Amino acid sequence: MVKYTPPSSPSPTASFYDVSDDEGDYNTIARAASGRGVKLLFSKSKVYVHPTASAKDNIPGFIALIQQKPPSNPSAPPGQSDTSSYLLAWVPESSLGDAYSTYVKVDLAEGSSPPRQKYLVPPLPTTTTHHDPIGLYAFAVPLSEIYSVLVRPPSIGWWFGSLVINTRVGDSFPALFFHDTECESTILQKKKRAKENFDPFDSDGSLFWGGDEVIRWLRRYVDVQRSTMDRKVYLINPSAEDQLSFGRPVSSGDGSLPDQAQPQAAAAGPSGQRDASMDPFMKTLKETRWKVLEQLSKITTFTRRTANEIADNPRIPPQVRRLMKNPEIQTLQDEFDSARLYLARWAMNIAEQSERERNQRIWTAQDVLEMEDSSVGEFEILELETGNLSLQERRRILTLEEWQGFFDPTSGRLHITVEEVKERIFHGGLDPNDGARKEAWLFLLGVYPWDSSHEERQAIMNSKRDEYIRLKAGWWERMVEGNSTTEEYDNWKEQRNRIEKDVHRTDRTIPLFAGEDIPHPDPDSPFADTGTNVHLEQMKDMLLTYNEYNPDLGYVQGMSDLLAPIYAVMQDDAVAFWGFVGFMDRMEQNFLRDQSGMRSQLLALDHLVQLMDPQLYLHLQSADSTNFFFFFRMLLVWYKREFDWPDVLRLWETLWTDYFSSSFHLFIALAILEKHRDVIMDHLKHFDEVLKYINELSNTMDLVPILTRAESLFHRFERAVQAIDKKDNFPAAPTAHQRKPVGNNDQGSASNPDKGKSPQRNAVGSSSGVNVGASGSSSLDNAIAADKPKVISPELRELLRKDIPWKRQQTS
Amino acid sequence: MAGTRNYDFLIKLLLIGDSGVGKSCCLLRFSEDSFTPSFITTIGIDFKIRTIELDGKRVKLQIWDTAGQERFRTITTAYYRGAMGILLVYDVTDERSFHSKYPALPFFFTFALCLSMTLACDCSKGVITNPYSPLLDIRTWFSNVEQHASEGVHKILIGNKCDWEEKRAVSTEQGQQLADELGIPFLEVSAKNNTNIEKAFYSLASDIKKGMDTSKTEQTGAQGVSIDQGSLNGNTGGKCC
Repeated sequence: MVKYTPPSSPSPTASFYDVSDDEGDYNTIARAASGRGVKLLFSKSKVYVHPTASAKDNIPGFIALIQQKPPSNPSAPPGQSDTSSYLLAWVPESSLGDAYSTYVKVDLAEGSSPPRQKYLVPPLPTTTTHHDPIGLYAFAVPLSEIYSVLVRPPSIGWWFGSLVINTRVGDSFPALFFHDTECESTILQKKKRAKENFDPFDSDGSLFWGGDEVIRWLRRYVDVQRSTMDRKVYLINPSAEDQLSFGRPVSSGDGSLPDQAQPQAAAAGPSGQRDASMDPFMKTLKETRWKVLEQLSKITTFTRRTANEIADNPRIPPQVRRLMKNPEIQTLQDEFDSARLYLARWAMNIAEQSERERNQRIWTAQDVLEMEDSSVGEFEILELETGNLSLQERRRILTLEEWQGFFDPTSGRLHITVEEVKERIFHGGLDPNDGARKEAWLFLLGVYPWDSSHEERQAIMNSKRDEYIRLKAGWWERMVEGNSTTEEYDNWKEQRNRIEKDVHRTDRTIPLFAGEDIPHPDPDSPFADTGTNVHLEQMKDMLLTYNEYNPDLGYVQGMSDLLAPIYAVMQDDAVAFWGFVGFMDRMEQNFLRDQSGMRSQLLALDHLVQLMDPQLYLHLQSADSTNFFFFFRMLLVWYKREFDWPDVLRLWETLWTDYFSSSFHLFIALAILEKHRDVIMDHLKHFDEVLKYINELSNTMDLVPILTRAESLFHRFERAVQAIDKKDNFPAAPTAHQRKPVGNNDQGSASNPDKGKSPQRNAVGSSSGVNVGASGSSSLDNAIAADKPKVISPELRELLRKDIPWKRQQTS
Repeated sequence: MAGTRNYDFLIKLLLIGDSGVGKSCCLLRFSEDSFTPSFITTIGIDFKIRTIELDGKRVKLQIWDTAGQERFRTITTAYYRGAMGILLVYDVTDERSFHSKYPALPFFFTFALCLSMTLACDCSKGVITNPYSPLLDIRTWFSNVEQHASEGVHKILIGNKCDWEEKRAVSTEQGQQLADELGIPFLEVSAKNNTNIEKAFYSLASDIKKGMDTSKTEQTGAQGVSIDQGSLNGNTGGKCC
């Protein structure tokens, strides 16, 4: 990979070119080796080649127009036709050495004509083809050899404007990207335009950018005609035939004529077609794909980080996805074994990112159909993000000020509905910095009733503080002061050791928990040597107090993960403790000895995937993965290990609202699964592969897109349930298939008892043309299932409820 | 992953032992040669891969790491069956993790999950009701393994944190004695100092491979492989520091 090295500072020898004023001193390329230099007419800095998908590989350079001494052929006609003595070149900054300062000077030279003073630079080897994609990408091509220039101005979809030069022999050079915000001359020119004309736009109404300058300069020396067939194509010295192929030229001048020409459906010649349909990005990819893959082959342990770095580059279009499906490349990928997987994910991330950037594109019916076919709700998600103008408003962060405005200033009672508050929190999240969470979380966690007054809340908090102190004193007196039986004490000590071990390895990267600044109170503790901090000690006390408060459950691994964010927000042990108790009320089932809570959640997820994405479900089934065990960690500690700290806080408050469903966390799981469904279906064939892949998503995901996707999936689920219910309300036609009553779910698995299937799978079946996985019996079973009416299982119906099942049972 | 060209043998190993004894640290040391003192607790399961060379053959080790707390044993039990080798890990500075003197309380498994390598079973319905002790000393772990792991699975007893002499609560002799009693090899290791970690994994893998070779030549199938412990039991007694 070409690493960019900053050009050396101008040395005295650079001035050699500056002062030279001797016409005869510059050379033709042919005699370049020993010569003194060629004339630099125009240059523009910060024009990049993007050799790979990764921004760090971008190579900055100059685009330049160079005049070499005309060939010693006196009969050659002067002026424009003598285009072979003018070269259009791109040179990387790193290769310029002393000449760098000359390039900068010419770039910054004002005026639209060549500088009066002659700037000479070392000649560049002339090139007419581009055969070496691994090289430095530098080129210098005679204008006479240029057939066309593909121009893509900067747009919303693509950050940087670009040029691709196509030669008469049918070759293309790498796309040149104009990083206008880094290019001083472009910035100055923009400013100047704004000053002079109060109009930063070009004559044809588009924003001025670096590529305009190149076209303008080319027009000084050659005939540049913009094609009407494809407005991106600028023909250089076109023949009459070419002009026909590309439609009547709009203008041979400035491109200032009104844009009246309709693209003509004239039969384009082969060469014309080639150019007109040339996608410069595809071209770039063509040139760089092997390079990318070659890089990969060198990395034996292709880490997630590497994959992410590549994925960081937002400028690679969805074509990459197609590229990855190229059989040639797939074969190569197979050599990389697991790297193949990361490649797939990399491609997915990039495609997604560019999709986001290009979300203004017009969707074709084909696109929609493909979406509908392949995955759940992609189109809907986009609709949600782009079509709904108020979404931006809904995603606005809820500040403490706005929060306080929800309450009546005198009584301190909420004066808007609870649903309204929850909606704001669900979509906007609470301000992480202004203390809004400290207040709002106590409502979300059930410490304060939503309808309480200010005074009532004060009373609640006072009694809660007292109770915390009482609970804490309870174990303290018995255990530390020795008023307990040996067995009690031993059990307590066991739990204390467990808590101690876990607290010392919970969120220690968070500054609050990082310190080891106070000596450990217990010299026998394994952590006596390393020390502790006051927050860790508070954490231990709170967990021991919870152990006292809920002795049946006790402390279980994972609880420290649930407490840490609450404590970090509250930074008050009594308040945090009761917040944690509120959280545990809903999470308790996950920690039961019989694991019934986890089991029922994984089962609900199983049903959900069956209903929402039967194709994916079948694939997971063929990979023995329908236990959904790879979601165990996510469901137990609510994605604490999957997202980074600020996102976890944001996610939890969203989930605590129960705004759509008290099981919204399962839609988060579905959203994650759906996002990766293509990779899973294409590449993961066994449980261990699925598990590893899902485990390694940890800390690679952005929360907000997942939230959006989950919301969309929820709505889709809701509609699916409604549709099925509606259908069930119609009386059965005489010839209709026998309808299975809700709850009679055993038939499917009874008919096929050998395979690990949920009993529900017959109930929801599939309406799409599923390609059935492994066994024949499964395929038969599926055919039967598809024929059966869809039934919404009780597990699925639960997902529509906003209250928490076991809490409901308690109150009723 | 899917490719089979990269190795000649695939061996699945499992790390079990009480919470906090350093299972994940041992694995991290072996798979990535690194050590983090304030590690995170393991929730659920995960595995790491390292390919080693044994007798000129490339052996791909897939090493499963599990949560240690008894509450999650319902989960880890499902993985015993696919394992060909099990590392029983305790902490030499924590007597409880080695030998517990506290009485057992019964609890029930009702939740078994399948791994692709285990026999297919219906996880949503699989209800196993066996009483187990919630105490996780080595004997308990061992009997768990005996009950759930495949027959003839190879085991090794590992005493971790042997670098921490001043905190030592279980002597090397005690460790060796228990290993002898259970009839399995024994090593004291330190993930922190990288002592004996390689040896522990290599010797277990090598025993398994020998077993595979033997069973191949005798044409007797996977079961009934005699465990060759000589390579471990005979020598230094496993003391590490």
